[in-house]
Amino acid sequence: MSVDLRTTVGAFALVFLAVVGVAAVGGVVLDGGPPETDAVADDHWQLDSVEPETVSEGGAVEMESTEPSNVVVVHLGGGTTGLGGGTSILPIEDGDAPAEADIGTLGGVRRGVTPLTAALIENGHEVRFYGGITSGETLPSMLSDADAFVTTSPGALSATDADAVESFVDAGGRTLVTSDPGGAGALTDFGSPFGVYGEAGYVYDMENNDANYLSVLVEPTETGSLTEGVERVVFRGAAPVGVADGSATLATAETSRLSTTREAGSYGVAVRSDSLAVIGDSSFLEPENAGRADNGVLIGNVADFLVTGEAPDVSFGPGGAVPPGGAVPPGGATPPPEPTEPSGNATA
Amino acid sequence: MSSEDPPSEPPDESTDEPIDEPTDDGDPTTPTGSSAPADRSAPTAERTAATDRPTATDRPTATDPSASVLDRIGTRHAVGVAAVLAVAAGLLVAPGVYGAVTGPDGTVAVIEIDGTIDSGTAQHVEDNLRDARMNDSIEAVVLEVDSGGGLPAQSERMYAAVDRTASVMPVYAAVDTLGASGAYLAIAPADRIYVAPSAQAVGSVGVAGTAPAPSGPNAGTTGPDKRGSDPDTQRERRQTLANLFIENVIEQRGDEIELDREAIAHADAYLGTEAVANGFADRFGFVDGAVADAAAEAGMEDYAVDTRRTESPVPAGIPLLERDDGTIVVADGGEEELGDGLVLAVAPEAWDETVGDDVVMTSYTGRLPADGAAAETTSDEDSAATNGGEGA
Repeated sequence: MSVDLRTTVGAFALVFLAVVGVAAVGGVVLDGGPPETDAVADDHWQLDSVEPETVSEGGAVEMESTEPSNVVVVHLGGGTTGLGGGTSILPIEDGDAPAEADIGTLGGVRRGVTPLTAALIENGHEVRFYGGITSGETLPSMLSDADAFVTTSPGALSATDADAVESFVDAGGRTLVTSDPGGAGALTDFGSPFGVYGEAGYVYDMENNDANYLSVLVEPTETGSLTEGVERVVFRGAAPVGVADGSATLATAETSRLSTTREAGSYGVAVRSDSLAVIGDSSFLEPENAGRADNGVLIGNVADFLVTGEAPDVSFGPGGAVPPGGAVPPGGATPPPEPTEPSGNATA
Repeated sequence: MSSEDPPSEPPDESTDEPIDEPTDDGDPTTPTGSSAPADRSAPTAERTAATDRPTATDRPTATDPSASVLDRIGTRHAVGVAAVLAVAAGLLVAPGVYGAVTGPDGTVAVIEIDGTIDSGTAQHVEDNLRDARMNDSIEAVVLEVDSGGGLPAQSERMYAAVDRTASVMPVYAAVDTLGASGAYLAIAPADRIYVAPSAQAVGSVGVAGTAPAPSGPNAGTTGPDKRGSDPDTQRERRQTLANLFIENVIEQRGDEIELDREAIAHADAYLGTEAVANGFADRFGFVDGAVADAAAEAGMEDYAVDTRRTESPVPAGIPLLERDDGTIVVADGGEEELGDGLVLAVAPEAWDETVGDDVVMTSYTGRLPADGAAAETTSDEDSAATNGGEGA
C-alpha cells in the first residue's frame, strides 16, 4: 500500500503541475493584455498653435495741436456710471425691445471717454459734460459758448438738442459723433442733413481681428487730419456708416463681413462731412482700448480735430433759447457761471 | 491498482463462493449460508471487496480459459460504466460548448452622452470607454448622444477617451436632437458620426460666456487679477479656448468637413441633414443602425449589446434644485459656479438647460450694467410675457 500511495501522490503532483504549467504557458503566450491604444495627439494643444493673434499694446494719446483753449461739450447719453460698474451697451438691432450686446469694455458714462477728455484738458482745453435735458444748463446754451461737441449717443439727444447740434454743425462747429451698432436709425436721423447715414448690423471679422471676431481691425482709406499716423485701429464693435459724396475715412479689412448680409468686404466705419466726423464705434475711446494698436493716435487726431479751427459763429435765437428756457429757466439764464463746474467734473 | 495485476483478478461470483468462506477476511461471525445470495444479488457493491480477497488470500492463479472469460466480462462492465460516466460528463460540458458555439462573437457597448456635460458625464463616458478597452468581449462602441455641451475641459476629457478607444476598436456616434458644442467635441474622434436627419444642432464649434469686463478695485483681494483678469486677457483666453476647440475638430474631422476654418469658427449648429452634407456628420442613422454597423466593422456576425446609461439624469457638477412645479433649475449657488470667467462650450439650443433661468449669463447680449439691470429685468419680463403670448 505504501508504494501505491507514493505512486498516487506522484501521479497527482505530475498531473497537477502539468495542468498549471500549461495554463501558465498558455496565459503568457495567448494573453497580450489590454490592447495598446494610440496616444491622443496633443500637438495642436500647445499654446503656440492656439493663441490668438493680437494687436500691439501700449499706444499713447498725443495731441499735436497748439490751439489756444477751446471748449468741448461732451454728451454721453443716458448710460449709468459708477466705479467699475457700467459697461458700454451695444444694441444689436433697432426695434421696440432691442437686444443688447456688450462690446466687452467697461463703460460708465464719463469713464468711457477719459482718454479723449484727459488729452484735451492736458493740452489746455476745457471739457464740459452735458447730461441730457435734466442737466442744469441746456445744450443750446452750452453750445453757444463751445468750440466743439462730442456725443457718443446721438439717439439720446432730444429733438431740441438735435436741432441745436445741427445748427452748431452748420455753423462750422466741429462735432464728433460716435455711433455703436444698433444706433443706425438714430444716426441716420441725426446725420441725414449732412449726408451721413448709418447702416444696420455690425461688422465682424473672423480672420483679422484682435482676439475676437467683433474686434475688427480698421485702416484709413485716405490720409487726412483724422487718420494721420494711423496704420490700424481696433474697434470692439463696429457699425457701418456712410456719407453722400464721399468715401469713408476708416474702413474695415476686406476679410470683414457685415452681420446682416454676411457679405465679405471692406466696410466704412468712419466718415467726415465738413465739420462733422462720424465714427461707428465708441469703444476705441475707452481706457482699456486706447492703448491698443493705433487707437491712441486716432484719439489724438480726434482731439486735434475738435480744437483746430475757428470758433463757430452760432446763435440759438428763439429756436434755441425758448424751448429749453421754458423747461429750465434758470439753466438758460445762467450759462456763464456754469463752465467751472463741468470742468471740475471732467477731472473726476 | 487493480489494473496492475489483471491475471490475479478473479472478481467473479462463481469462483468466490467456495473459496472465500473459510478465508473470509471480513467478519468471522457472519453466517456462511447468507453470503452466497448476498454476493449474487449485489455483485457490484461487493466488487471491490471481491477484488481484494483473492489477492489477500494469495490464491493460485486461475486457469487461462476461465481468466479470459472473466476478463471479457470485466471489460464489458468497465466500458458500460465508462460510457455512463462519459454521458454524464458530456451533459455537464455540453451547455458550455453549445453556448460557445452559438453565443455572440462579442459585445457592442452603447454608451450614453446625455445632458449637460460636467464631471459626472465625463466620468461616465471615460469609465465605460476604459472598460470597453479592457474587456475582451467588447469589440465595438456606439455613443448615444443627445447633449448640447457643457464644460469645455470635461468635453475634452471625453474627446481624449473616445480618441483613445477609437484607436483599438470601432467607435461610432449616433446623434438625436443635440450633438453640439462640447458634445460635438467629445464625439469628433469617433470613426463615424450618425445623425438623425431632423437633428437640430450638430456642430456649434465655439465657446461662450459673459463678455469681458474689467473689475473695479477690491481691497479684499491680494492682486488686481484675483477677481478676474483684464478684459484683453479675458478676450484672448476665450479665443484660445475657441481655437483649441476648432483645432480639435479640424484634427479629427478636417478631412471630412467641407467647410474652411473660418466657416467652422462661425460656430453654427447644423441640422442633421445639413451636417451630413457638409461633413460634420457621416451619414443618417440611429443607434440601432450604428450598433449593427459597428458590429460588422468589428467582424462580429453575432453580437450582444450592452447599454450603459448615465446613472442619474441630473448632472452632478452644476448644483440644481427642483422647484415645486417639478422643473429643475440651477441653484442660486450656481451663480458662483458659473462665474464671470467661466467659459462654456454650449450650443444655444442647450443654453437654458445648462445655466438655468436664474443665472444671469447673457451669452449673446453681454452683461448689463449694474444700475440698469433692474430696469432691464423688468423689460425682459415684459418682453418675455409678450413673446409667450405670441407663442401661444
